[in-house]
Amino acid sequence: MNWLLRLFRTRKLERELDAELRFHFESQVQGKVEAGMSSSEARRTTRLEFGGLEQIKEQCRETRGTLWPASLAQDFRFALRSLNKTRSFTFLAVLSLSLGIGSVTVIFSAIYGVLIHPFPYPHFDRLVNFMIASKDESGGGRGFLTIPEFLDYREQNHVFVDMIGGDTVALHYRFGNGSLQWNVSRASPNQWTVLGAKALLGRIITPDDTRAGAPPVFMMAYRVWKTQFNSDPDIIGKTFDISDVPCRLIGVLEPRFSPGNGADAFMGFSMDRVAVANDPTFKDARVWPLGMLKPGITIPQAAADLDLVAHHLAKVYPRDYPAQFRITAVSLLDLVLPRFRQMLYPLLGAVLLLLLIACGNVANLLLSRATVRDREIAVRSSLGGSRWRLIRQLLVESFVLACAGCMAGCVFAWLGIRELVPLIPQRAVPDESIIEINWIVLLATMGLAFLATILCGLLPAIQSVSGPLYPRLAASGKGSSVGLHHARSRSFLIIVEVALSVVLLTGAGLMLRTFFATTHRGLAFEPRSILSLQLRFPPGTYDKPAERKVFFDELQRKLTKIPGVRDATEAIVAGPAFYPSSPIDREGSTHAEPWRSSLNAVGADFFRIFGYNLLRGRLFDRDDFDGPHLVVVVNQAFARQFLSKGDPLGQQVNFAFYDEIKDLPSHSAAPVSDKSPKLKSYFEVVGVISDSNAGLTADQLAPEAFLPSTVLGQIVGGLAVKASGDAEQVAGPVIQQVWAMNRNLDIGEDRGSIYDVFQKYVYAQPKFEFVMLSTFAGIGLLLVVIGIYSVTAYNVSLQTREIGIRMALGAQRGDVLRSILRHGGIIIGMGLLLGLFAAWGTTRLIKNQLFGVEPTDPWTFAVVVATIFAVGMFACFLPGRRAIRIDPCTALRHD
Amino acid sequence: MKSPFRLDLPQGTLDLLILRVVALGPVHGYAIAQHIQVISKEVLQVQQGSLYPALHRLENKKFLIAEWAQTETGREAKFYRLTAKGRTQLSVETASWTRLTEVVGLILDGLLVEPS
Repeated sequence: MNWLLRLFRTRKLERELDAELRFHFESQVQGKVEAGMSSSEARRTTRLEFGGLEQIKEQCRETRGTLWPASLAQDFRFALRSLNKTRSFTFLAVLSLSLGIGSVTVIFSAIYGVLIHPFPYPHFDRLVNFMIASKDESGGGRGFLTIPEFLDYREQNHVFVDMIGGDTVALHYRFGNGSLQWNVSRASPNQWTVLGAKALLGRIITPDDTRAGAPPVFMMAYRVWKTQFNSDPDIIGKTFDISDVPCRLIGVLEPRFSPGNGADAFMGFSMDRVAVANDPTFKDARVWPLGMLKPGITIPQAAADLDLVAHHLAKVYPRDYPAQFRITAVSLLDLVLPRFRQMLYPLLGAVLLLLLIACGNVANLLLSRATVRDREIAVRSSLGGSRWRLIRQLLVESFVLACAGCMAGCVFAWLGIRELVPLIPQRAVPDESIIEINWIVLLATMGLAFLATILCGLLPAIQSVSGPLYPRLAASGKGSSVGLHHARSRSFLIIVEVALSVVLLTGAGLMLRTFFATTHRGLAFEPRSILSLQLRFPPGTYDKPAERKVFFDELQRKLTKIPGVRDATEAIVAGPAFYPSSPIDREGSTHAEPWRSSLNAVGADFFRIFGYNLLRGRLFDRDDFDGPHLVVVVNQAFARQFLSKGDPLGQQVNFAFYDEIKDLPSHSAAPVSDKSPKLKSYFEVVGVISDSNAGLTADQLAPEAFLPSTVLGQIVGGLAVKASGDAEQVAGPVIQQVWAMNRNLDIGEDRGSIYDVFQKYVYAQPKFEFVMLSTFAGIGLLLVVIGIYSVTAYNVSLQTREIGIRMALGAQRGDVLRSILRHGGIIIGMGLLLGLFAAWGTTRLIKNQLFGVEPTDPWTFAVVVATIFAVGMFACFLPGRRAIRIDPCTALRHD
Repeated sequence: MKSPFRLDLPQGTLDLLILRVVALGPVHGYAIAQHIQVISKEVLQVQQGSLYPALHRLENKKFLIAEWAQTETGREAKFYRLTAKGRTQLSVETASWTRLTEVVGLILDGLLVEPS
């Protein structure tokens, strides 16, 4: 009979054991009777020879090796029974644990979904991007390669299994009565196999699809298939008109798979040099490379190898490379996630603190219980219960609590994730990440529950079985000094809990202030009254800056005739905080570190619309837009940081961004370094304007520079419209007017007031962090209240008799209450003090996420201290009030 | 009824004796005790307190297999048989026991002679 059968067939085994021994007994008696003994004498001697029948049985049972599960089961039954008997204890303990475990699970899920497994590609951790970084002071470089260059790198490197490359372009899907703009990811045809993409319907693109003469084909993202085509199962094989080219649909990708920044459709380009050179679409295309590392190759090794390839290529094509450069490589993960990682780590810290507080609570509750059960345990160990057995039983009890906490915690986590996901700021996580509770997260949670068991249960368990037995046997649990024998541990735990909650609450407070500072800073314009649009010009139209200027001037004239529209102007980006950035230089300056500034090319009325004040010199006039003379208007921060002392006007400034893209036609994929030997263009400073605090990092006011819109005309597509009232009210007529000028103009997705744009991109992160941290801090505070309340209530119940005596001797209710509050106040005060030190040390870790507030902001600290003190005292007051209602007569009879 | 020489069994030898007795054919616990007692000429007394735990241990280690059957007197008893594994164990144990007693005997015999 094997072990499992032995475990479950106990009754049969018992019956057989009994029969076997009885047979032996009877046979022995029989033998003695046959030898001539009297029956009763035979029985008596046999019984003597046998010894204790039960002991023999017990020894036989031990050979089965099945006793420990039974005794463990006994422990579990006992634990459940005793937890059921003290329901309020169990409720508080499970609530504490589940809040702690639930919060951790939420953040674990986010970390798993975003940091550990953000992409559906196998081996995504081996995907590496590289760029050519110039070593000169401009700090510039390029990450995009022409297709022939891409092929060179693909063929000449020794570190990649394979290399893929691609770009994203806006194309138009035209159908019967209209057209839709699709972001189309055009990639090397090996991308799908390298990334391990699978088609949900049809098949993926292969190199065969891109060879010369092959009919054009494309794949569709699952999202597009579902929303725009109602999940039509017969869609494969149909031909679509995409920017006037008939393309056949060959596949729909799996739901989670959407490389290329959430592209709507996917195409391939040929990897044949001759074919590419003859293809007008791809001749000048620039692709963004991604390599799949060979196993075992590190990123620095890859960068070193690519560096050799690049320097070799630079000798062949010297015009394509900066004079001095090196290759920098970075993993795909590091490329897309640094921001979210920065946000997640403080939250992870917060939830771990929370779990610690929760464990502290449970340990505290268990300690209180241990005191009540002191006597039971003392009796059991004096009767020979082994310490290990007693500790095990107490640990089983906390394990049951942890399991219950784990289950309830998963429910909290599920609810939490449902609330969390919509709050995550746009573009903070890759489109392909999924945040959910999965098996791995569940396992981690269960591991945590186990850890929580050890943390919560071990200290009370060891405490309750150690120490001399006699005094504990003599004393009754309640009303004696011995009953307070765990008091110090309990106070210590409360002090730590209070301290941890100070840290949590301070973090939340600072994020709250950041949120308000971000949303309520005094802007020089009213964000709700400015409409911001991004126009996309059809290829081949308005390519020349002068043409574009004519278009915008006419548009401006027409728009300002719309009732409610006050002003309109063009810019590269028609809203503060998102200007492009450029390396800069000043004639005659020497500086070691690279200089950078925001740069925008704007119409003349831009300054008025966004509330910039002219401080010196002049703004742009008509000639600046037409003439060959290069001028720039800079803000104060720019002048302060980069211009030489004295008169800022007339100084000459260079913008690398301008040099790089001035000769490019519009619709080129990306800026690249100039092909001609570097010729630096200098702009004369003609005006200085006030600083704007609308930037993302307005911690220090950012340097900004403005060029006339015609200077970078080919990339000017932003339109800012100032309304006299709410921008939303003029949005309709404005868009109608734009289309009246040219029906083929596309209007980008982010159409709305500057306020909407801010909501989406500027306020979202502080809001996310503020909501998350406040939630966790709120839970932490609740846990601390539970902790203080339960400890005070417990202490009061121990002192019932003492209080009764004091009141019988004439103590006033106020005196009793005061003594209880004083005790609680001292503990809370110590916790606050410890917490202040801890918070002082830790809040600087989130310094780079704060805005408009110092990490050691005294107001935040003061409010946090006051809040915790008030809440903590309230938690002491509740049991205190009960204590002073004690009737001395009852109290003395108590026990 | 008590014999003048009663020896306690050295640790571990009871298992060997049981295996040896059971090797003769299916037998119940009482008979094993009787057998050992008779063969050893009443010198070895097997206590029930050690016999049954030993039997159960050997059964759980799959050296023995047990089934219920009728005795000659018509009573139900638990009969033990040797398994193949038990038979191997018996030969291993017997060999090592023989070897051990030989060696111990050698040492005891030569005890009074100085080692050269």
